[in-house]
Amino acid sequence: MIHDPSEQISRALDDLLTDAEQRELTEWISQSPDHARQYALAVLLHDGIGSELRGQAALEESTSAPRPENVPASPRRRRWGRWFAVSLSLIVLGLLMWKGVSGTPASAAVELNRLIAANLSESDRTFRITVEEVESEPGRRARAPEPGRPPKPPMQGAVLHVRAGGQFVLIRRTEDGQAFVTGSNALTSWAVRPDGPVRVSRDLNRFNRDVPGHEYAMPLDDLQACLRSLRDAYEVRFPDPVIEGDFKQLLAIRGRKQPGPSQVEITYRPASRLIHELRFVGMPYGPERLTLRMTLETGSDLGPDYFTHSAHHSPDREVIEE
Amino acid sequence: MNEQLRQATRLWTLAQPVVSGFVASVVRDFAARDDVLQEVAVAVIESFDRYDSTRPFVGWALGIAQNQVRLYLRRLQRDRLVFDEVTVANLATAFESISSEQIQSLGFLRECLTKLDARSRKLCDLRYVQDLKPAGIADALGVSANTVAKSLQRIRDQLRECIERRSTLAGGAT
Repeated sequence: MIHDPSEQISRALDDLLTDAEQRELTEWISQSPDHARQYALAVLLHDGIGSELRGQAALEESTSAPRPENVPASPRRRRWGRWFAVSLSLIVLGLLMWKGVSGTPASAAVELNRLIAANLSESDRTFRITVEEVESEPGRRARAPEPGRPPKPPMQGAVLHVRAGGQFVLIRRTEDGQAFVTGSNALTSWAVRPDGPVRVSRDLNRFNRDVPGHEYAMPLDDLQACLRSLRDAYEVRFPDPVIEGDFKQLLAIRGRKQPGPSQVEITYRPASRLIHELRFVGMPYGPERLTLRMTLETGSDLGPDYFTHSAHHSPDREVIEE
Repeated sequence: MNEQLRQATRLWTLAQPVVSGFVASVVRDFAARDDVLQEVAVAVIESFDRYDSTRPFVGWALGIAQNQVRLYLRRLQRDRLVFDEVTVANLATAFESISSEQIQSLGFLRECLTKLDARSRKLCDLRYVQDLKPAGIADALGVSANTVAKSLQRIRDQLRECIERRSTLAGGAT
């Protein structure tokens, strides 16, 4: 007979029960639906604590390590448990839509699906964009600035904050260091220039066209869409030789008739499968092709209002709804 | 994303905490739980076209989870279950009965964790992140395993009370 069910349940959660105590607990659970429910609620909390803390730990680790070299370098291999951070909040999406891209080894395909599942995170993430190379494409016209508006600042050094559900804030700097901010809270999209009115639109795509990748269903502000596009249209494989150590990589190679970047390198934590960096080679961007990196910097909660335009300008700014 | 997939994703997002809790209640090992839960997720997606939308999704997903637990253990050829089949079924029923409000109240957990003192937070990190059991934590901290076990129970009680308080406040504010 159990004298203190709460204590016995807690000891069960910590694997402290003797065989006799385990049998007592089993019998107690089976005595009534209320007992089973009490146990279930205790486990729900216990599991929730674990998921939350492991998720925080995995995100902290993803943002703390330096960017790996692109050559295999494995001075040591760290042992990890199989923490899934907040990764199991969604499922492997690709199996319903998997078209069996030719040339993709099954193991790489499975790994990409696991990455997609692992990165379906409700946590906010912040990335730094680094442009490595800019190639002009002959014969292509430069993007014309919108009438009456100055050219937009470059992507070099831009900071991209993303939240599940297509919410993003992209912060670029003008030549004199002022912030040019565009974003969306999944209800409206908006642009906050250094001067002039704030522009807001119900068209969620109105102000994301400056984010590289949109033209090819591979927008940097939507990690999920990016990964799914790679899964559906690219040949995905492990690099040769396989990189071991704190990070692993997948390579996505574009087919000949496919638009979009010629190659995408996905660098991620092997234990949590959280993405640390995406490197796009030859990403079409207007008249140019960019080689750029999107590197995870933090996974901190940005608060409930960060993705609305009002968080990025003073209250007395004129706001124009387009 | 097509509409069916979107619907599956949405339903799984809501059900996942309960299904994860159920798997945790019957599979002790953290690593094994993650494996089983991912297999459940894959099975849910693969069979979503057979889901009868007139039935509760959580109950359907828990049924899949029960099957996946059995399959996983059969593959391992090792009994890592702590409960018999009848108790597992009773627990699945119990998890299915947990209300959406109770599941949503777990959203306060992150905030409640910030209220823990440093020592309690350290204990939680050792238990939940490092996956140490009380004996290992006791060695690390230089206290008895019984002290650790009691402390973990107090911390869980504290977190549960914090969640209940915040849920009550949030409910009163709406």
